[in-house]
Amino acid sequence: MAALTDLDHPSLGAVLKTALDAVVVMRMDGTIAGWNDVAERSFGWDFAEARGRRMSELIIPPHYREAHEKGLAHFLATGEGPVLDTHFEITALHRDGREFPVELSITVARQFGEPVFLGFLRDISERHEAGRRQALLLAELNHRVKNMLAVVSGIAHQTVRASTTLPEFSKAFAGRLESLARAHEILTSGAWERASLGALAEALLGSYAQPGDGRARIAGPEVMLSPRQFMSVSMILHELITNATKYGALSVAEGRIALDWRDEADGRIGLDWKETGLADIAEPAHRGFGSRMIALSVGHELDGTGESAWQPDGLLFRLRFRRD
Amino acid sequence: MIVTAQLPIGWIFGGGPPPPAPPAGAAAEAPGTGLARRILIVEDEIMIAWWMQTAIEEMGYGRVDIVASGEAALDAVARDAPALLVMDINLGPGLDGIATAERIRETGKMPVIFVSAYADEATRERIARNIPGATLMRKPVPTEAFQQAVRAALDPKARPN
Repeated sequence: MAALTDLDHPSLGAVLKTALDAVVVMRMDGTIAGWNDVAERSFGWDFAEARGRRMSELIIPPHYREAHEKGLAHFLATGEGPVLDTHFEITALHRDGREFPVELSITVARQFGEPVFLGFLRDISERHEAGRRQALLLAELNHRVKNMLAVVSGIAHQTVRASTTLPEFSKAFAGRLESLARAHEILTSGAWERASLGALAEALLGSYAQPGDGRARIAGPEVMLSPRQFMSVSMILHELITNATKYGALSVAEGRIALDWRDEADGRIGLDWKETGLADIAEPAHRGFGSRMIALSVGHELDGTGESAWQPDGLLFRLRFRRD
Repeated sequence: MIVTAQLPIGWIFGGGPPPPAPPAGAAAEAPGTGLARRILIVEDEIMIAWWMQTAIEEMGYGRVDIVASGEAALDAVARDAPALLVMDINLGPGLDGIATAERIRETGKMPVIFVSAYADEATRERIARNIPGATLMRKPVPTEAFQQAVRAALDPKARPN
């Protein structure tokens, strides 16, 4: 194995050979006298290329070189070195010109025949990248939380307008928040990538489809929606369920709901909500929260169409939209 | 017999009291101008857009339209220039709110209110540089503060001293 240092000292050779960090030996004149394998990998120079060259020209980025040379001169003149015997973070220079973050500690060693500086450097690029990603995630979370608070504020505002009593408001508002929370839970479990329409239908309507109840039937192929469309459809389904519970198929024992969806020939998703088992359905005199919210969601968020029909025994609602 | 209606015709069976009527004469005469004025909301979260629309309607200004993307905003403005733009900044894929407002401002100098969760220094500087005079409000915004900003944008005499 080639020598890792020009200094003839077995202990120094052992240190260089076994260290897990990059180790650079620098003479008092600023030239390189030792360099281990990790340093070769970290900086792109082998020892044969590095030996005898000024360290400042090889691995110190240009904008730090003057300070380095001044610090070295100051140490030689006074024996003072504020960066000695401590850990600090700085950037180093790779052979290809790339700067990368390192954790650096420098000590003065006098036991290897002549006094030398020993620099221990650890590449902390991955740690920095993880920190950068975490900062980005926190910033994104911050934005999402504020946005969600604004959504909740909007829901509260509109629910107040549609309520005649405080208990009515409280029940409607809590239901909408719960539905929002369930949709968020499904999206979060999939890292806010696409989420399953079937999972959403099960989460919101599943309890009515269980054996022992059986008032709802859910059927459809696997359809994955973008977070934006998923949230939109979740709010629409919640309003349909709430309406069915108060006035529709879930308000009477004989009522039934069939929710099914499919890929249409034109590439859109077709979703049908069909209530049966009712009688004497009348068109409402004015639009409530649900109808306004659904109309806005269908038109603006899904960029689709929504059609409602009063059949003799219940409501049929047809939603068509193109997948994001 | 099947009765079919394209939304947004009402179909929910009941559901709360009728919406309150706007102030008398409000739709025909907006404060400070004697004219009804169209306001355009550009916001991709429909619950937020709806809240804004209602808050502005309660003030008695003219028509309040909603679009969900920068591209849709450009189309809407090309058809009929609004007196005020209320803009989200992060509008998903495509143009963001600031870039959209910048393009719109090339054709008309209507006031702009940004309402966004993105209200950091970099965003403020970008708005100051590209949309001078625009207001930036950080979500969530209290209704009264939002209405005050709308009033100040449409009627500068209403600005608090």
